[in-house]
Amino acid sequence: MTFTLDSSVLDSSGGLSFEETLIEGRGRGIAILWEQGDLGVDMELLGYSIRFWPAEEQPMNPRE
Amino acid sequence: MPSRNSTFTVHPTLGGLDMTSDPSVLDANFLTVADNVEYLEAAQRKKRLGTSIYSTSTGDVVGAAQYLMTSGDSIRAIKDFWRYGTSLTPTQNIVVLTGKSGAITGSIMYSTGNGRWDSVGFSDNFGTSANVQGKITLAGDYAVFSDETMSPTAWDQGGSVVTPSTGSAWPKFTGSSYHLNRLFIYGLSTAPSRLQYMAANNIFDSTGGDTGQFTVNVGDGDQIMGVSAPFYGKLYVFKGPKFGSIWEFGGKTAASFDLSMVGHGAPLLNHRAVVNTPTDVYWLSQYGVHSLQTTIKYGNVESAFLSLPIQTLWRDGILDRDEFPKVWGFWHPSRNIVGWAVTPKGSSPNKAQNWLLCYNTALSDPAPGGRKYWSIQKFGFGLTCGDTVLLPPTWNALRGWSRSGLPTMFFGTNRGSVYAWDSTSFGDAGVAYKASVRTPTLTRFPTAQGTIGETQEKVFAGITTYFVPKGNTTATIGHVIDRDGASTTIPMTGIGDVLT
Repeated sequence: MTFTLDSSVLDSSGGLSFEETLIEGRGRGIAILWEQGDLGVDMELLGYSIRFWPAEEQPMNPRE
Repeated sequence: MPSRNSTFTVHPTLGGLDMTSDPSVLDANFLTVADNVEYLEAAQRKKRLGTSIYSTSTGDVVGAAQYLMTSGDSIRAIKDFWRYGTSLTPTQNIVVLTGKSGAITGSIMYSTGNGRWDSVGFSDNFGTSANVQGKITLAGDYAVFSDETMSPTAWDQGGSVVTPSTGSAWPKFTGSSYHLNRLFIYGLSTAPSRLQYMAANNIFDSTGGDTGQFTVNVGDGDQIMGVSAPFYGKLYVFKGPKFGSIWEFGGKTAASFDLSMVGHGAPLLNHRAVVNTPTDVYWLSQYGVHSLQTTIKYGNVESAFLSLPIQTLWRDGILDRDEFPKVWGFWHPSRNIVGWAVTPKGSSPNKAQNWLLCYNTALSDPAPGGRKYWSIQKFGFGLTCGDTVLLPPTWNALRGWSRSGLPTMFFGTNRGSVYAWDSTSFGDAGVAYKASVRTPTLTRFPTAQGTIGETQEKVFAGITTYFVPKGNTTATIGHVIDRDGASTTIPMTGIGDVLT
Protein backbone atom coordinates (compact mmCIF):
# COMPACT_ATOMS: atom_id res chain seq x y z
CA MET A 1 0.00 0.00 0.00
CA THR A 2 1.32 3.42 -0.88
CA PHE A 3 0.79 6.44 1.34
CA THR A 4 0.60 9.71 -0.57
CA LEU A 5 0.74 12.98 1.32
CA ASP A 6 -2.23 15.24 0.64
CA SER A 7 -4.35 12.41 -0.69
CA SER A 8 -4.16 9.37 1.59
CA VAL A 9 -6.06 9.34 4.87
CA LEU A 10 -4.38 8.36 8.10
CA ASP A 11 -6.88 7.74 10.82
CA SER A 12 -6.48 6.11 14.19
CA SER A 13 -10.16 5.91 14.98
CA GLY A 14 -11.10 2.51 16.31
CA GLY A 15 -7.85 2.10 18.18
CA LEU A 16 -6.47 3.37 21.44
CA SER A 17 -6.12 7.06 21.94
CA PHE A 18 -5.36 9.23 24.90
CA GLU A 19 -5.82 12.77 26.07
CA GLU A 20 -3.73 14.54 28.68
CA THR A 21 -5.51 17.06 30.86
CA LEU A 22 -3.38 19.46 32.84
CA ILE A 23 -4.60 20.11 36.35
CA GLU A 24 -3.29 22.02 39.33
CA GLY A 25 -3.96 20.95 42.83
CA ARG A 26 -2.34 19.97 46.05
CA GLY A 27 -3.79 17.51 48.49
CA ARG A 28 -3.78 14.03 49.88
CA GLY A 29 -6.14 12.31 47.48
CA ILE A 30 -7.86 12.67 44.15
CA ALA A 31 -11.04 11.31 42.57
CA ILE A 32 -11.79 11.57 38.86
CA LEU A 33 -15.15 11.68 37.12
CA TRP A 34 -15.86 11.23 33.40
CA GLU A 35 -19.23 12.13 31.96
CA GLN A 36 -20.78 12.05 28.51
CA GLY A 37 -24.39 13.20 28.24
CA ASP A 38 -24.86 14.26 24.63
CA LEU A 39 -27.48 12.73 22.40
CA GLY A 40 -26.00 10.36 19.85
CA VAL A 41 -22.53 10.42 21.36
CA ASP A 42 -20.67 7.34 22.61
CA MET A 43 -17.87 7.07 25.16
CA GLU A 44 -15.55 4.14 25.79
CA LEU A 45 -12.88 4.44 28.46
CA LEU A 46 -9.89 2.12 28.78
CA GLY A 47 -8.01 3.56 31.71
CA TYR A 48 -6.19 6.55 33.12
CA SER A 49 -2.94 7.86 34.50
CA ILE A 50 -2.32 10.48 37.15
CA ARG A 51 0.84 12.63 37.08
CA PHE A 52 1.97 14.04 40.39
CA TRP A 53 4.90 15.07 42.55
CA PRO A 54 5.21 13.97 46.16
CA ALA A 55 5.03 16.98 48.50
CA GLU A 56 5.34 17.36 52.28
CA GLU A 57 5.32 14.10 54.12
CA GLN A 58 3.76 15.78 57.13
CA PRO A 59 1.47 18.56 55.87
CA MET A 60 1.44 21.65 58.03
CA ASN A 61 -1.99 22.71 56.91
CA PRO A 62 -4.74 20.28 57.96
CA ARG A 63 -6.53 20.79 54.66
CA GLU A 64 -5.94 23.01 51.72
CA MET B 1 10.69 19.75 48.04
CA PRO B 2 9.05 18.20 45.01
CA SER B 3 11.90 16.05 43.89
CA ARG B 4 10.49 13.53 41.53
CA ASN B 5 7.81 13.33 38.90
CA SER B 6 5.69 10.19 39.17
CA THR B 7 2.92 8.66 37.14
CA PHE B 8 0.30 6.32 38.48
CA THR B 9 -1.37 4.32 35.71
CA VAL B 10 -4.54 2.22 35.80
CA HIS B 11 -4.78 0.73 32.35
CA PRO B 12 -6.63 -1.52 31.76
CA THR B 13 -9.19 -0.92 34.47
CA LEU B 14 -10.11 -4.33 35.80
CA GLY B 15 -12.86 -3.57 38.26
CA GLY B 16 -16.51 -2.68 38.56
CA LEU B 17 -18.79 -0.58 40.70
CA ASP B 18 -18.33 -0.73 44.46
CA MET B 19 -20.67 1.57 46.35
CA THR B 20 -20.35 -0.26 49.62
CA SER B 21 -16.68 0.07 50.51
CA ASP B 22 -15.26 3.36 51.68
CA PRO B 23 -14.04 5.15 48.52
CA SER B 24 -10.71 5.98 50.13
CA VAL B 25 -9.75 2.33 50.62
CA LEU B 26 -10.87 0.96 47.28
CA ASP B 27 -8.49 -0.38 44.68
CA ALA B 28 -7.98 2.12 41.86
CA ASN B 29 -9.53 -0.30 39.37
CA PHE B 30 -12.96 0.02 40.92
CA LEU B 31 -15.60 2.68 40.47
CA THR B 32 -17.79 4.51 42.94
CA VAL B 33 -20.19 5.63 40.21
CA ALA B 34 -21.05 3.57 37.10
CA ASP B 35 -24.23 5.11 35.71
CA ASN B 36 -25.45 4.30 32.23
CA VAL B 37 -22.34 2.35 31.32
CA GLU B 38 -21.66 -1.25 30.44
CA TYR B 39 -18.47 -3.28 30.59
CA LEU B 40 -17.11 -4.75 27.40
CA GLU B 41 -15.08 -7.93 27.18
CA ALA B 42 -11.84 -6.34 28.38
CA ALA B 43 -13.72 -4.39 31.08
CA GLN B 44 -13.81 -1.17 29.08
CA ARG B 45 -16.37 1.25 30.48
CA LYS B 46 -18.68 2.12 27.62
CA LYS B 47 -21.74 4.33 27.48
CA ARG B 48 -24.81 2.10 27.36
CA LEU B 49 -26.84 1.82 24.21
CA GLY B 50 -30.06 3.73 23.74
CA THR B 51 -33.70 2.72 23.39
CA SER B 52 -36.15 3.06 20.51
CA ILE B 53 -39.92 2.86 20.58
CA TYR B 54 -41.20 -0.32 18.95
CA SER B 55 -43.67 1.10 16.46
CA THR B 56 -44.21 1.52 12.76
CA SER B 57 -42.47 4.86 12.83
CA THR B 58 -38.84 5.09 11.90
CA GLY B 59 -38.50 8.03 14.25
CA ASP B 60 -38.69 8.22 17.98
CA VAL B 61 -41.23 10.98 18.42
CA VAL B 62 -43.60 9.96 21.15
CA GLY B 63 -47.09 10.41 19.78
CA ALA B 64 -50.49 8.89 20.33
CA ALA B 65 -50.27 6.81 17.17
CA GLN B 66 -47.23 5.03 18.50
CA TYR B 67 -48.64 4.06 21.84
CA LEU B 68 -49.65 0.50 22.36
CA MET B 69 -52.19 1.65 24.92
CA THR B 70 -53.25 4.97 26.28
CA SER B 71 -50.49 6.92 27.90
CA GLY B 72 -49.87 6.24 31.54
CA ASP B 73 -50.87 2.59 31.59
CA SER B 74 -48.29 -0.09 32.09
CA ILE B 75 -47.40 -3.13 30.09
CA ARG B 76 -47.34 -6.05 32.48
CA ALA B 77 -45.58 -8.84 30.61
CA ILE B 78 -43.89 -9.36 27.26
CA LYS B 79 -42.66 -12.53 25.54
CA ASP B 80 -40.92 -13.48 22.32
CA PHE B 81 -43.26 -16.25 21.12
CA TRP B 82 -41.81 -18.64 18.53
CA ARG B 83 -44.10 -21.42 17.37
CA TYR B 84 -43.37 -24.44 15.17
CA GLY B 85 -46.65 -26.37 15.28
CA THR B 86 -46.21 -29.04 12.61
CA SER B 87 -43.90 -27.04 10.38
CA LEU B 88 -40.14 -26.68 10.32
CA THR B 89 -40.60 -22.99 9.67
CA PRO B 90 -41.43 -21.25 12.94
CA THR B 91 -43.43 -18.07 13.22
CA GLN B 92 -42.47 -15.26 15.56
CA ASN B 93 -44.94 -13.14 17.47
CA ILE B 94 -44.20 -10.73 20.27
CA VAL B 95 -46.99 -10.97 22.84
CA VAL B 96 -47.78 -8.53 25.62
CA LEU B 97 -50.11 -8.41 28.54
CA THR B 98 -51.32 -4.88 28.99
CA GLY B 99 -53.01 -3.11 31.86
CA LYS B 100 -56.27 -2.08 30.28
CA SER B 101 -57.95 -1.75 26.93
CA GLY B 102 -57.69 2.00 26.48
CA ALA B 103 -57.25 2.78 22.83
CA ILE B 104 -57.11 -0.85 21.82
CA THR B 105 -59.45 -3.81 21.90
CA GLY B 106 -58.64 -6.27 24.61
CA SER B 107 -55.56 -6.37 26.76
CA ILE B 108 -53.58 -9.28 25.29
CA MET B 109 -51.82 -8.08 22.17
CA TYR B 110 -49.38 -9.45 19.65
CA SER B 111 -47.11 -8.15 16.95
CA THR B 112 -45.70 -10.10 14.03
CA GLY B 113 -42.55 -8.01 14.13
CA ASN B 114 -43.68 -5.12 11.95
CA GLY B 115 -44.08 -2.57 14.73
CA ARG B 116 -47.88 -2.90 14.87
CA TRP B 117 -50.02 -4.41 17.62
CA ASP B 118 -53.24 -6.37 17.29
CA SER B 119 -55.55 -8.08 19.74
CA VAL B 120 -55.32 -11.86 20.09
CA GLY B 121 -59.09 -11.99 20.28
CA PHE B 122 -59.40 -11.76 24.04
CA SER B 123 -61.92 -8.96 24.18
CA ASP B 124 -62.01 -8.33 27.92
CA ASN B 125 -59.40 -6.81 30.12
CA PHE B 126 -56.98 -9.32 31.62
CA GLY B 127 -56.38 -7.63 34.94
CA THR B 128 -55.17 -4.11 35.49
CA SER B 129 -51.89 -2.25 35.68
CA ALA B 130 -52.05 -2.55 39.46
CA ASN B 131 -51.47 -6.29 39.18
CA VAL B 132 -47.73 -6.72 38.76
CA GLN B 133 -47.72 -10.52 38.72
CA GLY B 134 -48.44 -10.99 35.02
CA LYS B 135 -46.62 -13.92 33.47
CA ILE B 136 -46.40 -15.37 29.96
CA THR B 137 -44.96 -18.88 29.63
CA LEU B 138 -44.32 -20.71 26.37
CA ALA B 139 -45.63 -24.26 26.70
CA GLY B 140 -46.90 -26.81 24.21
CA ASP B 141 -46.86 -24.28 21.35
CA TYR B 142 -49.00 -21.92 23.40
CA ALA B 143 -48.33 -18.69 25.23
CA VAL B 144 -49.92 -19.15 28.65
CA PHE B 145 -51.13 -15.99 30.40
CA SER B 146 -51.64 -15.82 34.16
CA ASP B 147 -51.64 -13.31 36.98
CA GLU B 148 -53.56 -15.13 39.75
CA THR B 149 -56.54 -12.76 39.70
CA MET B 150 -57.80 -13.74 36.23
CA SER B 151 -58.66 -17.16 34.85
CA PRO B 152 -55.52 -18.25 33.00
CA THR B 153 -55.75 -18.45 29.26
CA ALA B 154 -53.56 -19.48 26.34
CA TRP B 155 -52.96 -18.45 22.76
CA ASP B 156 -51.44 -20.44 19.91
CA GLN B 157 -51.07 -17.61 17.36
CA GLY B 158 -54.53 -18.53 16.07
CA GLY B 159 -57.72 -16.52 15.96
CA SER B 160 -58.50 -16.42 19.63
CA VAL B 161 -57.39 -17.52 23.06
CA VAL B 162 -58.23 -20.96 24.37
CA THR B 163 -58.90 -22.37 27.81
CA PRO B 164 -58.60 -25.98 28.99
CA SER B 165 -61.00 -28.40 27.34
CA THR B 166 -59.59 -31.51 29.01
CA GLY B 167 -60.98 -32.34 32.43
CA SER B 168 -61.45 -29.43 34.79
CA ALA B 169 -60.55 -25.87 34.08
CA TRP B 170 -57.19 -24.61 35.23
CA PRO B 171 -57.27 -23.20 38.71
CA LYS B 172 -56.24 -19.56 38.90
CA PHE B 173 -52.47 -19.45 39.25
CA THR B 174 -49.88 -16.70 39.40
CA GLY B 175 -47.11 -18.17 37.32
CA SER B 176 -46.00 -21.26 35.47
CA SER B 177 -42.94 -23.04 34.15
CA TYR B 178 -42.61 -25.56 31.31
CA HIS B 179 -40.56 -28.69 32.01
CA LEU B 180 -40.62 -32.26 30.63
CA ASN B 181 -43.52 -31.33 28.34
CA ARG B 182 -45.54 -30.43 31.41
CA LEU B 183 -46.88 -27.15 32.67
CA PHE B 184 -46.00 -26.56 36.31
CA ILE B 185 -48.17 -23.97 38.05
CA TYR B 186 -47.79 -22.14 41.35
CA GLY B 187 -49.12 -19.19 43.26
CA LEU B 188 -52.60 -20.63 43.78
CA SER B 189 -54.71 -18.52 46.09
CA THR B 190 -56.34 -21.65 47.48
CA ALA B 191 -53.04 -23.45 48.09
CA PRO B 192 -50.09 -21.02 48.40
CA SER B 193 -47.53 -23.79 48.95
CA ARG B 194 -48.67 -26.09 46.18
CA LEU B 195 -46.64 -26.92 43.08
CA GLN B 196 -49.00 -28.59 40.62
CA TYR B 197 -48.15 -30.20 37.30
CA MET B 198 -50.26 -30.91 34.25
CA ALA B 199 -50.15 -34.13 32.25
CA ALA B 200 -47.22 -34.71 29.93
CA ASN B 201 -47.91 -33.49 26.38
CA ASN B 202 -51.17 -31.82 27.41
CA ILE B 203 -50.71 -28.55 29.26
CA PHE B 204 -54.48 -28.28 29.71
CA ASP B 205 -54.96 -31.55 31.60
CA SER B 206 -54.88 -30.64 35.29
CA THR B 207 -56.85 -33.53 36.76
CA GLY B 208 -56.05 -36.69 34.75
CA GLY B 209 -54.06 -39.71 35.84
CA ASP B 210 -50.72 -38.27 34.78
CA THR B 211 -51.13 -35.07 36.79
CA GLY B 212 -50.08 -34.38 40.34
CA GLN B 213 -48.89 -31.94 42.92
CA PHE B 214 -46.36 -31.37 45.67
CA THR B 215 -47.02 -29.45 48.83
CA VAL B 216 -43.87 -27.56 49.67
CA ASN B 217 -43.51 -27.14 53.43
CA VAL B 218 -47.03 -25.86 53.88
CA GLY B 219 -47.45 -23.62 56.88
CA ASP B 220 -43.84 -22.52 57.18
CA GLY B 221 -44.83 -18.86 57.00
CA ASP B 222 -44.08 -18.58 53.30
CA GLN B 223 -45.72 -19.30 49.99
CA ILE B 224 -44.25 -20.43 46.69
CA MET B 225 -43.17 -17.16 45.12
CA GLY B 226 -41.55 -18.44 41.96
CA VAL B 227 -40.17 -21.37 40.03
CA SER B 228 -37.15 -21.27 37.75
CA ALA B 229 -37.12 -22.43 34.16
CA PRO B 230 -35.50 -25.88 33.77
CA PHE B 231 -31.88 -25.79 34.83
CA TYR B 232 -29.75 -28.90 34.20
CA GLY B 233 -32.87 -31.05 34.18
CA LYS B 234 -34.36 -29.63 37.36
CA LEU B 235 -36.69 -26.91 38.51
CA TYR B 236 -35.90 -24.68 41.48
CA VAL B 237 -38.79 -23.61 43.66
CA PHE B 238 -38.46 -20.41 45.68
CA LYS B 239 -40.54 -19.74 48.76
CA GLY B 240 -40.97 -16.31 50.31
CA PRO B 241 -41.53 -13.47 50.85
CA LYS B 242 -40.90 -13.61 54.61
CA PHE B 243 -38.22 -16.16 55.45
CA GLY B 244 -37.31 -17.84 52.19
CA SER B 245 -36.26 -21.31 51.13
CA ILE B 246 -35.05 -22.95 47.92
CA TRP B 247 -36.18 -26.38 46.77
CA GLU B 248 -34.86 -28.62 44.01
CA PHE B 249 -37.44 -30.52 41.98
CA GLY B 250 -35.98 -33.51 40.14
CA GLY B 251 -37.05 -36.69 38.35
CA LYS B 252 -38.19 -37.38 34.81
CA THR B 253 -41.61 -39.00 35.27
CA ALA B 254 -44.46 -38.51 37.71
CA ALA B 255 -43.36 -41.70 39.48
CA SER B 256 -39.83 -40.43 40.03
CA PHE B 257 -40.47 -36.77 40.81
CA ASP B 258 -38.82 -35.70 44.05
CA LEU B 259 -38.33 -32.51 45.98
CA SER B 260 -35.60 -31.53 48.40
CA MET B 261 -34.56 -28.35 50.16
CA VAL B 262 -31.21 -26.98 49.02
CA GLY B 263 -31.10 -23.63 50.77
CA HIS B 264 -32.92 -21.29 53.07
CA GLY B 265 -33.21 -17.54 53.46
CA ALA B 266 -32.92 -15.02 50.60
CA PRO B 267 -36.70 -14.82 50.17
CA LEU B 268 -37.91 -14.17 46.67
CA LEU B 269 -40.45 -11.35 46.41
CA ASN B 270 -41.83 -11.83 42.92
CA HIS B 271 -41.63 -14.73 40.47
CA ARG B 272 -40.51 -12.26 37.81
CA ALA B 273 -37.28 -11.60 39.72
CA VAL B 274 -35.93 -15.10 38.96
CA VAL B 275 -33.49 -15.10 36.04
CA ASN B 276 -32.31 -18.25 34.25
CA THR B 277 -29.09 -18.39 32.27
CA PRO B 278 -27.37 -21.51 30.90
CA THR B 279 -24.92 -21.53 33.81
CA ASP B 280 -26.81 -20.22 36.82
CA VAL B 281 -30.11 -19.10 38.27
CA TYR B 282 -30.19 -15.62 39.78
CA TRP B 283 -32.78 -13.81 41.87
CA LEU B 284 -33.32 -10.60 43.80
CA SER B 285 -34.56 -10.89 47.36
CA GLN B 286 -35.37 -8.60 50.27
CA TYR B 287 -31.66 -8.53 51.07
CA GLY B 288 -29.74 -8.52 47.83
CA VAL B 289 -29.01 -10.40 44.63
CA HIS B 290 -28.20 -14.09 44.77
CA SER B 291 -26.84 -16.85 42.56
CA LEU B 292 -28.08 -20.40 42.97
CA GLN B 293 -24.61 -21.86 42.46
CA THR B 294 -23.00 -19.49 44.94
CA THR B 295 -25.75 -19.77 47.54
CA ILE B 296 -25.65 -23.57 47.54
CA LYS B 297 -21.87 -23.65 47.62
CA TYR B 298 -21.16 -20.89 50.15
CA GLY B 299 -24.47 -20.48 51.96
CA ASN B 300 -26.90 -17.65 52.36
CA VAL B 301 -24.45 -15.17 53.88
CA GLU B 302 -23.85 -11.61 52.80
CA SER B 303 -20.30 -12.37 51.70
CA ALA B 304 -21.82 -14.70 49.10
CA PHE B 305 -24.33 -12.15 47.83
CA LEU B 306 -23.57 -11.09 44.29
CA SER B 307 -24.81 -7.66 45.31
CA LEU B 308 -22.21 -7.16 48.04
CA PRO B 309 -20.48 -4.27 46.19
CA ILE B 310 -23.83 -2.48 45.85
CA GLN B 311 -25.27 -3.62 49.17
CA THR B 312 -25.65 -0.01 50.23
CA LEU B 313 -28.68 0.16 47.94
CA TRP B 314 -30.49 -2.18 50.34
CA ARG B 315 -28.80 -1.23 53.59
CA ASP B 316 -29.20 2.51 53.29
CA GLY B 317 -32.70 2.44 51.86
CA ILE B 318 -31.74 3.82 48.45
CA LEU B 319 -34.11 1.31 46.86
CA ASP B 320 -37.80 1.67 47.61
CA ARG B 321 -38.59 -1.49 49.55
CA ASP B 322 -42.32 -0.96 49.15
CA GLU B 323 -41.82 -1.46 45.43
CA PHE B 324 -39.85 -4.71 45.67
CA PRO B 325 -42.89 -6.81 44.68
CA LYS B 326 -42.68 -5.14 41.25
CA VAL B 327 -39.06 -6.10 40.62
CA TRP B 328 -38.46 -8.17 37.51
CA GLY B 329 -35.26 -9.56 36.08
CA PHE B 330 -33.79 -10.40 32.70
CA TRP B 331 -30.87 -12.02 30.92
CA HIS B 332 -29.42 -10.15 27.99
CA PRO B 333 -27.01 -12.62 26.37
CA SER B 334 -25.56 -10.35 23.71
CA ARG B 335 -24.46 -7.80 26.35
CA ASN B 336 -23.43 -10.46 28.93
CA ILE B 337 -25.67 -9.11 31.65
CA VAL B 338 -28.38 -10.18 33.98
CA GLY B 339 -30.32 -7.36 35.56
CA TRP B 340 -33.28 -6.26 37.61
CA ALA B 341 -35.61 -3.30 37.25
CA VAL B 342 -35.95 -1.56 40.61
CA THR B 343 -37.47 1.60 41.97
CA PRO B 344 -35.16 4.05 43.71
CA LYS B 345 -36.52 6.10 46.58
CA GLY B 346 -37.91 9.36 45.25
CA SER B 347 -37.85 8.20 41.65
CA SER B 348 -39.12 10.48 38.95
CA PRO B 349 -41.73 9.89 37.66
CA ASN B 350 -43.09 8.86 41.03
CA LYS B 351 -42.66 5.18 41.91
CA ALA B 352 -41.26 4.40 38.47
CA GLN B 353 -39.03 1.37 38.05
CA ASN B 354 -36.47 3.42 36.19
CA TRP B 355 -33.23 1.82 37.36
CA LEU B 356 -31.73 -1.38 36.00
CA LEU B 357 -29.18 -3.04 38.26
CA CYS B 358 -26.91 -4.86 35.80
CA TYR B 359 -24.41 -7.61 36.61
CA ASN B 360 -21.90 -8.63 33.97
CA THR B 361 -21.79 -12.42 33.89
CA ALA B 362 -18.82 -12.65 31.53
CA LEU B 363 -16.41 -10.67 33.70
CA SER B 364 -17.63 -11.26 37.25
CA ASP B 365 -16.39 -13.88 39.66
CA PRO B 366 -19.45 -14.96 41.66
CA ALA B 367 -17.40 -16.46 44.51
CA PRO B 368 -17.13 -14.48 47.75
CA GLY B 369 -14.33 -11.93 47.36
CA GLY B 370 -14.39 -12.21 43.57
CA ARG B 371 -14.60 -9.09 41.45
CA LYS B 372 -18.12 -8.16 40.47
CA TYR B 373 -18.93 -5.86 37.58
CA TRP B 374 -22.11 -3.97 38.41
CA SER B 375 -23.51 -0.89 36.76
CA ILE B 376 -26.76 1.02 37.05
CA GLN B 377 -28.75 2.04 33.99
CA LYS B 378 -31.03 4.99 34.63
CA PHE B 379 -34.06 5.83 32.52
CA GLY B 380 -36.52 8.68 32.41
CA PHE B 381 -39.49 6.33 32.45
CA GLY B 382 -40.60 3.17 34.20
CA LEU B 383 -39.59 -0.27 32.95
CA THR B 384 -42.43 -2.54 33.99
CA CYS B 385 -41.43 -5.80 32.29
CA GLY B 386 -39.06 -7.12 29.66
CA ASP B 387 -37.89 -10.05 27.61
CA THR B 388 -35.05 -10.86 25.28
CA VAL B 389 -36.44 -10.80 21.76
CA LEU B 390 -34.69 -12.03 18.63
CA LEU B 391 -34.92 -8.83 16.63
CA PRO B 392 -37.69 -9.31 14.05
CA PRO B 393 -36.42 -8.94 10.45
CA THR B 394 -39.28 -6.68 9.40
CA TRP B 395 -38.73 -4.18 12.16
CA ASN B 396 -34.98 -4.43 11.73
CA ALA B 397 -35.42 -3.38 8.10
CA LEU B 398 -37.85 -0.64 9.07
CA ARG B 399 -35.26 0.85 11.41
CA GLY B 400 -32.49 0.45 8.86
CA TRP B 401 -30.45 -1.71 11.18
CA SER B 402 -28.45 -4.83 10.42
CA ARG B 403 -29.20 -6.76 13.57
CA SER B 404 -31.94 -9.10 12.43
CA GLY B 405 -32.21 -12.06 14.79
CA LEU B 406 -29.85 -10.59 17.39
CA PRO B 407 -31.05 -11.00 20.98
CA THR B 408 -32.35 -7.58 22.00
CA MET B 409 -34.03 -6.48 25.20
CA PHE B 410 -37.60 -5.33 24.74
CA PHE B 411 -39.01 -3.34 27.63
CA GLY B 412 -42.64 -2.90 28.53
CA THR B 413 -42.95 0.55 30.05
CA ASN B 414 -45.31 2.68 32.08
CA ARG B 415 -45.79 4.83 28.96
CA GLY B 416 -48.00 2.29 27.26
CA SER B 417 -45.29 1.57 24.70
CA VAL B 418 -42.68 -1.10 24.16
CA TYR B 419 -39.09 0.11 23.91
CA ALA B 420 -36.22 -1.82 22.35
CA TRP B 421 -32.76 -1.50 23.85
CA ASP B 422 -29.40 -1.65 22.05
CA SER B 423 -29.88 1.36 19.81
CA THR B 424 -26.71 3.08 18.69
CA SER B 425 -28.63 6.35 18.72
CA PHE B 426 -27.35 6.82 22.29
CA GLY B 427 -30.65 8.35 23.28
CA ASP B 428 -33.80 7.06 24.92
CA ALA B 429 -36.38 7.63 22.21
CA GLY B 430 -34.53 10.78 21.22
CA VAL B 431 -33.81 11.99 24.74
CA ALA B 432 -30.20 12.27 25.89
CA TYR B 433 -28.92 10.48 28.98
CA LYS B 434 -25.65 10.85 30.81
CA ALA B 435 -23.01 8.16 31.28
CA SER B 436 -20.88 8.72 34.39
CA VAL B 437 -17.95 6.86 35.90
CA ARG B 438 -16.02 7.96 38.96
CA THR B 439 -12.89 6.54 40.48
CA PRO B 440 -12.41 5.94 44.18
CA THR B 441 -10.62 8.61 46.20
CA LEU B 442 -7.04 7.70 45.44
CA THR B 443 -4.67 8.45 48.30
CA ARG B 444 -1.86 5.91 48.01
CA PHE B 445 0.41 5.81 45.00
CA PRO B 446 3.08 3.19 44.43
CA THR B 447 6.23 4.62 42.84
CA ALA B 448 9.69 3.30 42.07
CA GLN B 449 10.87 4.97 45.28
CA GLY B 450 8.16 3.41 47.42
CA THR B 451 4.54 4.05 48.22
CA ILE B 452 3.39 7.62 48.68
CA GLY B 453 1.01 7.24 51.60
CA GLU B 454 -2.39 8.59 52.50
CA THR B 455 -1.27 11.48 54.67
CA GLN B 456 1.51 12.72 52.43
CA GLU B 457 0.61 15.61 50.20
CA LYS B 458 0.87 15.36 46.45
CA VAL B 459 1.01 18.02 43.81
CA PHE B 460 -1.26 16.78 41.06
CA ALA B 461 -0.30 17.96 37.60
CA GLY B 462 -2.16 15.93 35.03
CA ILE B 463 -4.64 13.24 34.16
CA THR B 464 -4.31 11.08 31.08
CA THR B 465 -7.48 9.45 29.78
CA TYR B 466 -7.14 6.35 27.61
CA PHE B 467 -10.14 5.82 25.37
CA VAL B 468 -11.41 4.38 22.11
CA PRO B 469 -12.11 7.18 19.62
CA LYS B 470 -15.74 7.39 18.57
CA GLY B 471 -15.54 10.25 16.11
CA ASN B 472 -15.43 13.96 16.67
CA THR B 473 -16.76 13.86 20.22
CA THR B 474 -15.98 15.22 23.65
CA ALA B 475 -16.46 14.24 27.26
CA THR B 476 -16.31 16.06 30.56
CA ILE B 477 -13.58 15.21 32.99
CA GLY B 478 -13.78 16.38 36.55
CA HIS B 479 -11.49 15.92 39.50
CA VAL B 480 -11.71 16.48 43.21
CA ILE B 481 -8.49 16.94 45.18
CA ASP B 482 -9.37 16.59 48.83
CA ARG B 483 -12.46 18.81 48.74
CA ASP B 484 -11.62 21.13 45.86
CA GLY B 485 -13.00 20.27 42.46
CA ALA B 486 -12.84 21.43 38.86
CA SER B 487 -13.94 20.09 35.51
CA THR B 488 -13.21 20.64 31.86
CA THR B 489 -14.16 19.33 28.45
CA ILE B 490 -11.73 17.08 26.64
CA PRO B 491 -11.75 15.90 23.03
CA MET B 492 -12.27 12.19 22.48
CA THR B 493 -11.05 12.05 18.91
CA GLY B 494 -8.29 9.79 17.70
CA ILE B 495 -4.72 10.93 17.83
CA GLY B 496 -3.58 12.22 14.44
CA ASP B 497 -7.19 11.75 13.61
CA VAL B 498 -7.22 12.50 9.90
CA LEU B 499 -4.15 13.54 7.94
CA THR B 500 -4.66 14.51 4.34
